[in-house]
Amino acid sequence: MGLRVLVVDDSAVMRHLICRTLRLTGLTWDRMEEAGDGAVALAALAESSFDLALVDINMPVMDGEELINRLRSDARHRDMAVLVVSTESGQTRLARLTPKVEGFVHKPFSPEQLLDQITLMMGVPDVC
Amino acid sequence: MSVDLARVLAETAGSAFEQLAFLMVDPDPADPADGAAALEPTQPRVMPDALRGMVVRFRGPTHGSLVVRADPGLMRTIAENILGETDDPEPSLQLDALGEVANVICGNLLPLVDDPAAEYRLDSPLMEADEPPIPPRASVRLSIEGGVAEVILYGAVQ
Repeated sequence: MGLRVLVVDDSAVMRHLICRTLRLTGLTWDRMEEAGDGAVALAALAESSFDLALVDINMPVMDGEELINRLRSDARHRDMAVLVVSTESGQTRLARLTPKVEGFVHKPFSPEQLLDQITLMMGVPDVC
Repeated sequence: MSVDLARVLAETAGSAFEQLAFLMVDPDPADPADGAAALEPTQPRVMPDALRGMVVRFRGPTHGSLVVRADPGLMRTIAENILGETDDPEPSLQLDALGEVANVICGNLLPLVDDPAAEYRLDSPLMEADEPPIPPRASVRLSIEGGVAEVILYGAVQ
């Protein structure tokens, strides 16, 4: 059975880049959905379950930090792996986020960096 | 204008163009910033009418904005490279791609020029309208694989 992933970023081209990179991981993806901000992501999560969410931090309407806080306070989503994919570099915010997420990939990232982090979090892909 | 700030801006921008859009800043041996020319605040741009810009505003201990401008050919190339497609992405995607470059430069620049522990909020990139009525803190012009880009920091930080 494949993985279900939600990509949350306010940039359409960044969502496209992330999804394209995910397809190169060798992992099997059952579903790949996109959301342009935290509120849209919550709406998607109300409709479906996901194994993994890739979340940007600076977004309009609802930013990634608020989204992550809501996910971690909701028993339905507590087990979902969250990978932050962001330009965020502020030490204070990173220290606050780190205990709540499974990983962090800093923008700009190489496909290999994202692939390595996803593989670390979700397991080795079933390919030679 | 601080030469060091211009240098950090040039290096951060160059890294963003390279890693995000797979574009190399052309080396310029005559310039100490290696491929980037620092612009004085009052210096006219080379081709102001041909450059389109995206701006990212930031708020935190200080506030300001970062603008990235590019010529049409470079804008198209940035979008094509990020999207992995070569058939002339629609204009909205080209602007989105340039905005993401601005977002990445801004997010990476602020901890380098301010307290690394400082918390900044970055607004979503918007199309540049008018230049702020203040001189930039730093600005650089980059020659990138045949195209031209300008990166300008307004307000904030030293």
